[in-house]
Amino acid sequence: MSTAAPITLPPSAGTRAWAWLTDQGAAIGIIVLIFVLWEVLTRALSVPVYILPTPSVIFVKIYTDLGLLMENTWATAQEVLLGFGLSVVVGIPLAVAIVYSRLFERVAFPLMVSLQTVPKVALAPILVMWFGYGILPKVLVAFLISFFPIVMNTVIGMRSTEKEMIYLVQSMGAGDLQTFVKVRLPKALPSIFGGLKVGIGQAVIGAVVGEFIAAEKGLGYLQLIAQVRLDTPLLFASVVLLSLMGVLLFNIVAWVERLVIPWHRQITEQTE
Amino acid sequence: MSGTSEAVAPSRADVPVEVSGVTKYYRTAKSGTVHALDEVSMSFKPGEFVSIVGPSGCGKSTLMMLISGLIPVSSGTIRVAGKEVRGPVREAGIVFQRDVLLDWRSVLSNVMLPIEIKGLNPAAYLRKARELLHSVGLAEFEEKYPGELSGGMRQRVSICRALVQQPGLLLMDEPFGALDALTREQMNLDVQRMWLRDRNTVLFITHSIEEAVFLSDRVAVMSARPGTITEVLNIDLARPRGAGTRSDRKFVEYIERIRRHFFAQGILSES
Amino acid sequence: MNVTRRGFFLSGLLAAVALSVASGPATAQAVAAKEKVQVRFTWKLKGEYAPLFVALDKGYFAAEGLDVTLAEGQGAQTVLRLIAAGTENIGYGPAVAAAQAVSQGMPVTVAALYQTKAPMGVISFPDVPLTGPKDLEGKRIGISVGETFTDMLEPFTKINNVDLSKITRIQMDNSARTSQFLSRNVDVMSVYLSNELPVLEKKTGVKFNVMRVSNHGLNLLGASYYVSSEFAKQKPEVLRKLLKATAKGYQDAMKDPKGAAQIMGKHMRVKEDPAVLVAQVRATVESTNAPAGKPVGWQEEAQWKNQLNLLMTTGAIKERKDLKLYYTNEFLK
Repeated sequence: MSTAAPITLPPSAGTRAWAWLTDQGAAIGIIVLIFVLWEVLTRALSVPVYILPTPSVIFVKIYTDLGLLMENTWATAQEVLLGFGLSVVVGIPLAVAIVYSRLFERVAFPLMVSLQTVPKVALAPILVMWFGYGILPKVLVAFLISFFPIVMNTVIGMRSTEKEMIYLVQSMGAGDLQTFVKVRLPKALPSIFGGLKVGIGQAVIGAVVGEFIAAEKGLGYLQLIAQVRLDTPLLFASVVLLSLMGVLLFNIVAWVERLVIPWHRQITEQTE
Repeated sequence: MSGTSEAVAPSRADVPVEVSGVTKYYRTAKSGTVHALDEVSMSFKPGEFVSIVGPSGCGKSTLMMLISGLIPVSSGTIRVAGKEVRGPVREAGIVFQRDVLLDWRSVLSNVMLPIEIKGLNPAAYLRKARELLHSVGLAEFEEKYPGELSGGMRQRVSICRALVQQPGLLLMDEPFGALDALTREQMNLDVQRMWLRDRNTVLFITHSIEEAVFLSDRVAVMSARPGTITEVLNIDLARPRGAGTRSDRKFVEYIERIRRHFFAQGILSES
Repeated sequence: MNVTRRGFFLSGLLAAVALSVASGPATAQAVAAKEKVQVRFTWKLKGEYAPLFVALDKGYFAAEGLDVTLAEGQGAQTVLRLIAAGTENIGYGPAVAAAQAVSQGMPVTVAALYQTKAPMGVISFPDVPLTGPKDLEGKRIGISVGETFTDMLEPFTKINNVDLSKITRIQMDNSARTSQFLSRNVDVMSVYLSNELPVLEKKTGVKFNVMRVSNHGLNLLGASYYVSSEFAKQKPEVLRKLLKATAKGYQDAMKDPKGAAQIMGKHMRVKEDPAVLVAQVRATVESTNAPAGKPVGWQEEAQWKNQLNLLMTTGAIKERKDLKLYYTNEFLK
């Protein structure tokens, strides 16, 4: 036999990483450019460090104070996760009740909307007054901010079931429970996850707002200390970590979404 | 068939349907009270293939929904398999114009849905489900998701779903309306083949006079709203009907007759 | 020894052992069962709080049988409301805020006063003249809700015949005041001379112009213990012990500010510049209220009368309650 057909191996991790990098090339390039400009301009204009530190100063700060930052990141993360968890546990059943009961909808909706329009910054001091400096007020603020998008998206998702689908399973003899479990709920999942992705970001905001009002630890607390001490690098470092935490949590939700509703991704990734 | 399959719940493969003096009103937010059907009466013999043709909004879909038991009559009675219809008819399999497959389930799982909901033993029906998919050429697509299928393929799956429970009554509401002409012709042949095998009673609703005549034993012509049956034609053409049938003289005559009827009613007009 | 004496000795020994065993757990319990007390500061940790940390570090609280937690806060009003609500029992912050709280009917009282003159001042960059209150006219100042000088600006101008309308007041969040001042978006800023000024001077290297408000008629009662009236009624002994130990802490700090600063630094999770801490502690102990022959923190009726007069005439409080409700020296005795 002459030359055998070339064997094609699956792309190595290295080639995959390179491919991803080049794909994201433009985005990465812009970010790097922004950092470089920031560094150069700040130095050139002799901006004092307590007004605007350079990226290099911030990175050094993160490195040297990593323990302190991680400690407080974990503190805030706990508030976020508990508040978000509460939103899910309360919000989704609430949404189901709204979909299935006209009366409930008429009572709950106006309450929810008025609660949503009150800035949580205004509510936080009241919560602190009632619950003190512990973790509870922060969890509650995180809950109050994140639960509205979760409820709304769940309601919309559940209402998106087509009439014919309901008719179909009814003709097969499905009662309300089967209709809910086999049709409405799975149909609503993409929408629910949309709500969860928004909600987790809101929960981060809520936790920090709560910390600004009353806290003994957390990234929001650290920001206050940094302001009092005029330690602007620490201020920026806290913001960087807050942002990283938000991105990480969001991606975790997105990953769970991929696990739970793989078909949704297939549809959105389908090319003609 | 092999002897291993234990008794698949033997439902009658054909049921009679009696519609007597059925009138239907319903209320909408926009148009107030709509008088959809007026004193409709008709009988379907067991195993008969009947089509209903009529203009948009004449109430033919409503009639089908009433027969299925999913909505109630305003007056009159409907009997399926001798029993008065008071709720969703269990002997009925339904195919809508939109395929309404569940995106999150595989093709096979979708077909098995009625079995699951009725709480029947899946093992007994799995073979039937696979056979049905095979008979419409979708055997390799068992594990695919609806999102990966074309419109025609999805509609075929929904037909399999309707048939897996061996319904005595098959209700189809413009099932091929959303498909292109070629696929539609193929689907007509497929439906005929399946019906010839199962011989359930079929109520087929369509806009297409040609399709109605091709498939049916009888064609009922419905007037504009409020809908009522204005004429019923016996279609006397040999089965199985195929490509040759469409150029048959009698075929063309039947179509002409129905078309003239619509002209007379003002539903079609040349001026 | 003969038999009987050995017998006596043994039984005596046994008895002693038995007694000590019996009382051992009891005394151990008595020692272990310290009273848990939490003090809520009105702000984040700073040099001003060093005397209390000295008391904690050197075991003065423990010696009085108290298990004290010193906790950070975020504003005097919040702390006072928490005390009134019963969520906290003891706070530590500017007494002037407590005066306002009591006037609003909150069940709190001031148990000890450690600064008779809150070290508040107004500062400006060297190129902005600030020799007296009149210099405020034509300047921009940052004001914030809940900030002490913001509340006292009008009284201050009244006392010193300064035209308030000639001062540009810019509303901003409390945390923004410093950055706005440093970027020259406002001309003058109010600070606590004992705390914020050392930080500013160290970070910027600038020697600011300073105007002390107490030199110009604005005497505000400063650092103090706030106590919930309910707690004071139920646990007077605990309060006495707390104040006693605190007094010791103050005395040590006054004698050795540097040592106190070091101790303070040890207890701060987010580190502060040691030189800044020393400056803060020094400024604090220099003005500590330790009248001769009286316990540290002793309050005079005249001080409170004057304070209430000032607050009343300037509209900072609307109602003047019975003097007894505002303060008490009972727990200092």
